[in-house]
Amino acid sequence: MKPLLEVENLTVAIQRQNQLLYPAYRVQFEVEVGEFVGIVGESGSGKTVTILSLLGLENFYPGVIGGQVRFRFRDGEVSILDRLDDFVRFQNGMPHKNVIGWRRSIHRISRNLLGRKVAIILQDSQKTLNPFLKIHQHLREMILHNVETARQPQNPPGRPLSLMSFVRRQQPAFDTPVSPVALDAVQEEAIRLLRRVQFREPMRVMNAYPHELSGGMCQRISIALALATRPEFLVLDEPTTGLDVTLQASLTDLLFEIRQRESMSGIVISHDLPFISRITDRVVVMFSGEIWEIGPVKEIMHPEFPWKHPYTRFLLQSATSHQGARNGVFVPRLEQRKRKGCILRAECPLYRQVKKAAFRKKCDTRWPEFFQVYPRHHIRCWAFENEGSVK
Amino acid sequence: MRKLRRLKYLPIGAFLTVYFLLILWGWLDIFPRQWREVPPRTIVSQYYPPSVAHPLGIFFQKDLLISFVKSAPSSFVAGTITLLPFLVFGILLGVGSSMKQGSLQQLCHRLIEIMNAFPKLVVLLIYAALFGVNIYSLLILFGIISAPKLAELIRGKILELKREDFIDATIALGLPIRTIVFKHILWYHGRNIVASQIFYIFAMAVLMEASLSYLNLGIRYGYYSWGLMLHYATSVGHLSFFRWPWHPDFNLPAVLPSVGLIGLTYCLMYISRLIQEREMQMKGIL
Repeated sequence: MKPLLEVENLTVAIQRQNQLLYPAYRVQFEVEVGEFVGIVGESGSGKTVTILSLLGLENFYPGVIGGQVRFRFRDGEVSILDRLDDFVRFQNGMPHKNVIGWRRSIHRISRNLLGRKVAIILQDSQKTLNPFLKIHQHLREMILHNVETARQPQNPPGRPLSLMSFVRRQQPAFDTPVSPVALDAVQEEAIRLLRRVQFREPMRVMNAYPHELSGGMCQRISIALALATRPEFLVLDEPTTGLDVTLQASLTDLLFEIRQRESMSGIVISHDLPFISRITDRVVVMFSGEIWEIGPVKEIMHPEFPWKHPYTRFLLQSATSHQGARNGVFVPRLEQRKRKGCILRAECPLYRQVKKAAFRKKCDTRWPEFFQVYPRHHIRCWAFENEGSVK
Repeated sequence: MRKLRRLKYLPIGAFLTVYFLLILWGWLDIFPRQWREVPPRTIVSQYYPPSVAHPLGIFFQKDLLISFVKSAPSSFVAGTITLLPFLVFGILLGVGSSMKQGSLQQLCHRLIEIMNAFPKLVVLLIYAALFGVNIYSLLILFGIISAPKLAELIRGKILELKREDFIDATIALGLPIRTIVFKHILWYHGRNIVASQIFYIFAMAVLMEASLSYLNLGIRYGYYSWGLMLHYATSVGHLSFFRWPWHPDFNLPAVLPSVGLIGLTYCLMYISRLIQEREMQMKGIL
């Protein structure tokens, strides 16, 4: 069975004066149908940028400059970056992007995805809810929008809208008048959604403003809003950030239960490793805008599993004790892309321990490749060259 | 203390109530018959002093009190005519100039800069000189050339909120851009700005109509306008009998509308300021 999401060589750049920084460089992973993939890594490792870029939501120059992103939904395939080459050209190694044309092009594609088949839950939910709207207004807006979008025919990807179809699609900016019967149905749906995210008194919550609710409640409201769109693919961007441990536990249970019942696929970004190990099936480890390890969660999170990338080991140690911090810190180096060799070798314990000249020479001169160490488990490190076959 | 604080709104409320009652009275056009009966115009006297039959006197065969009351709807109409182009152009320019870089955004920017570069009264005078005097077109033009002020405020609001997390979240949940801009940003967050500017431009339009009529570029003789009353009060005031003791060229009852104008504009601008203050308070609370 083909994967639901396929990301190939996704490269995202930020231009700072005459220098290019790569918050995501040749990122490549897949998400199978019904699978949740976790992305872990420290702050600034490029997790959020990767996710936003593959949905066309990045807002810096030049943004995505290469790669391919393919969604295979039940009713068809959508390629996000098909027309990227029409808008990006390289001169003297520097990309020049027609941002306006690109945004117009990507917007045509992403508006068929966002709120229809893909839903995103961002971090810090208290800030992601409009402070002037009550909860029932949030829910009503999303439910009605979902009804409207379900009625509209989809725009064929990559094909520009004709003027008439554009005019036909224009809906009033404000809520369309809804009959009282339909309003009852909307309210029922809102109550159902709130009960779905474990609110025992939905009516009390519906009349509250976001600032009257706790962080955990707001996070559950965000999940309800995302579920209102009935997505096939869910993206969770650090959903447990800023919550205390009890709330984190209840939210983890809720998401696990939703995931099991709705049989959705998705991506979870988090620093919270226990949360990742509970929710996801596979884990991608990112550092400095690149993937260094990708494999099943049970293998990566297991403390006794023998094959682990030095950075993953460091990350796990840091989460459980201060051992990782005592062994030194991996400093992100986005600007060192042009240098030869592995960028992690200065802090890499394997590089320091292993005395083999051949291994060290490879680390010094060649960019590490992915090596398969176990079924569906790949590590980007020369130390694992002999553990399995090259991918 | 709280009661005292509330008292500060009393004069404004009273003034606005009187203004709206005047508009209603002017529209209904119900006046005692004796006010309407004016003596024939003579060469010697065009002004008759106040009397029991005519409380403010007669001027150019018109009862001054009737003129004063019937001028109130004119000012209201002037304000309303100015509002529509002001809001449409202001919002469109504001939204256009806050879009992502492109030709439309640049065009909106340049338009705002050009419109800000010229003094409003001079533009109106040039327009009147070129195309003739028509108070409606002049007021519409005034609304359009005042729009950059609203556009700049809206642009600021949109740029301020653009990076807010809840806007990112609404985009991520697939809401259309027009809903986000017009509903989430302008309606829920920018309506205080728009409301304050509505009161401000209304006051300015009333003043502008009076000013143009005073310059004989607005409402012409035969119709009613406070500006026109002032025009006659100053131009032929010296012929009148009832004068300011320290400035004999001013006709006291005919100058009455200026007091009304100042009060009205002050009230409207004070309301505009109150709305802005309230928004600041809300920001502090939220």
